[in-house]
Amino acid sequence: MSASEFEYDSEEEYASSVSLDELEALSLTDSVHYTHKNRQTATGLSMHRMRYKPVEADEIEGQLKAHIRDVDGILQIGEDDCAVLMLKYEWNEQKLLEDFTTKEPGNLRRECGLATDTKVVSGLVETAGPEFMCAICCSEGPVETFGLSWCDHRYCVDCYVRYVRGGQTGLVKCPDTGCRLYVRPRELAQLSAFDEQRALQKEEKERQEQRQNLGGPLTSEQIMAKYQKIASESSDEEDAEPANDDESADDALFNFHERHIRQQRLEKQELRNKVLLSRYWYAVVLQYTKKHARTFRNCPAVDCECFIEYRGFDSDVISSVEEYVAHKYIPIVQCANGHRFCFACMSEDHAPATCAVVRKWIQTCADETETSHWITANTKDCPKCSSPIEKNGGCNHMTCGECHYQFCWICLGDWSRHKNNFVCTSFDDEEAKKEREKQETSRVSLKKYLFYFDLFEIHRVSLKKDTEFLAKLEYKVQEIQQRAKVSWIEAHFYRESIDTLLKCRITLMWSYALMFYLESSKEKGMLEKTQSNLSNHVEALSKLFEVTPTENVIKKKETFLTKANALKTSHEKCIEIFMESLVLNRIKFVSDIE
Amino acid sequence: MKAPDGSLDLLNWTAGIPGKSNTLWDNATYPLTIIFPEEYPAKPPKVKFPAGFYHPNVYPSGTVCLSILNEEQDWRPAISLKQILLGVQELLNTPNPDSPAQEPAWRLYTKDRVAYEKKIREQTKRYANPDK
Repeated sequence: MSASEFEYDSEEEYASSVSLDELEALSLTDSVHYTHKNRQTATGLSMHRMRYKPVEADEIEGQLKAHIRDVDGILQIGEDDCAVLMLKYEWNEQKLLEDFTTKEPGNLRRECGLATDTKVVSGLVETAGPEFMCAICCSEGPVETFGLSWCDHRYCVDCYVRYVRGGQTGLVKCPDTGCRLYVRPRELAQLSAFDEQRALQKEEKERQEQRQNLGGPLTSEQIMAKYQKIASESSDEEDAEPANDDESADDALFNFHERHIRQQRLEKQELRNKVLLSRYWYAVVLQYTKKHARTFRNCPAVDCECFIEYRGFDSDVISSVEEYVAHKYIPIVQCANGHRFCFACMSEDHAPATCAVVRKWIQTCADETETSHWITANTKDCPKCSSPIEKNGGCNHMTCGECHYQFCWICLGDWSRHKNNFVCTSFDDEEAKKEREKQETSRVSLKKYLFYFDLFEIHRVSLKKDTEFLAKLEYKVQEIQQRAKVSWIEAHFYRESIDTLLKCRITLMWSYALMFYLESSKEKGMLEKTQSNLSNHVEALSKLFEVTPTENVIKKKETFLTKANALKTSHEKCIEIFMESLVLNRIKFVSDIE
Repeated sequence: MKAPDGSLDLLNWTAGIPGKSNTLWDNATYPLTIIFPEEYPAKPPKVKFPAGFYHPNVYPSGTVCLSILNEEQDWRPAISLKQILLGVQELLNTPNPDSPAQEPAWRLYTKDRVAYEKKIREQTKRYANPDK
């Protein structure tokens, strides 16, 4: 991919410079994804879709290197100097080119921590004689040292490696106080290669020693070292082994999948940390994505290192994510590890509820705690000062503990009208009636909230339970698959069915939250029907998982596939219908959510 | 500095900085604690005056705000202790008004230089060298 293709300043520019057909073609070769599957809904309405591409750090690294190469094609100063300049200019190519042509070259290079010479000298790691002393750790020669091409500041390799490792960005200066030079990629590569080589040699040496030691009797130190090594290894294993003490066997099975992902990630991380150069480039990538947060978003799932690259929209009408969300679209994206999240608000998949609804819902749930539910259900508010009062016996003559207002518990009217008569006769009193109505409305709205909250909770809990239950099943199915020697692709349908089920539960859950904020209308009735349709499909598949004995799972493949596909279709339809209603403003919100 | 058990704690140092001669700070020694992190020299040490030290670039806690002591700014592992101390000594008489660390001293320094100098002289007296 050329740099001009991925480095575009504004989305509009990008969208307008390429025709839709070209983009369709591009999407096939370049794996561009869409937030919705179809451009046209079943009813023939055309919807706007956001384009995105799930990318990983290595891919971005490749893009950045290509970008540097392209810029160097213009500047002709060598890719290393170019890399430093680009980092210094925070990837603002235009500003760099402008300064490069207007500023005096010597000044620009000095300002950006480059030497007058662009060459990268080879053999930067050299052994210093006994007269050398490292200015960082004061160790004396002869020792391996490293220094940059165009300054005389040499330090021992250990100190240099530790220093570069401490750097958080791609811009690392020479360790000397007065030196302005930056470490350039190919200079770093020499240090990195030496460091790696040395680590390999050390390992090899240790292995040899072990082999030698097998012959003769061990000294006590060697025994101790060996013991410590085994002890630390076994404690490592304990951490990784599912059978941990404070974790039940069920949890261990449940975590099986997550563990697998984590394991892969740790291995990747370890490799990256081991090699100085790849660590350097990863820092560059992180810095770049942070700088371009509008285009690149880091997946919010715990420990996930995937990115989503924003690729504009398949329409000229919408030009930014903010605008897209304002039209009540929900840009749900899926990262390379399969985590689904909202590109706008960066929370987990919450379709069909809009970002604004989610924010409001979470706030409402936080406010309306269990306590406040109880308070509203079991108390009446003092008609004067509104402090909640629980009646725990006695007559209907109430005196508010807060404001000392006297009123009747039955009609909530002033007690003065009840004088000498402990039977409430003023039930139809205008004022008292108003009081009761007020409390009644608050009770109705609470009832409505509780209704949707319960549905939301039921699905949230089901989701959690399903996730656990299905992960356990999957583990068992994998075992069976291995025993029966079925290829993994044969059993893949199982994982897919699980994913579909969980995805639909999330949708269902959020659809209830959305319903709470919608005004009653014919349209809402239609949405409710769609919702219950999806709900039926979800339950059907969920039931199938429950009743199928593990041994029969592979035999029942057809049934699983049918049910899962039915659910998938129903889910797509549901999302589409909700989207139509929201985007076309066919449905009204009870209170202004924005 | 001695650790509680009486052994030497090499990560905590105490020092004194003499004020430069022919300046407001002359004829006094200012006490200083230098705390080295485990990662030293990859990370800079923390240099502290007593809490409440009067200087525009010293935080109320006494921590010195100096670019060469900031990991994100100009810290390099090759900076020697001598360079740090000279840097702090230099800072005493030439504060950097662009990075204030406490309000009272910074305000007076930028608004009312005479009052500032009076305050400094009072402080100098407090840390004055014993007459020889």
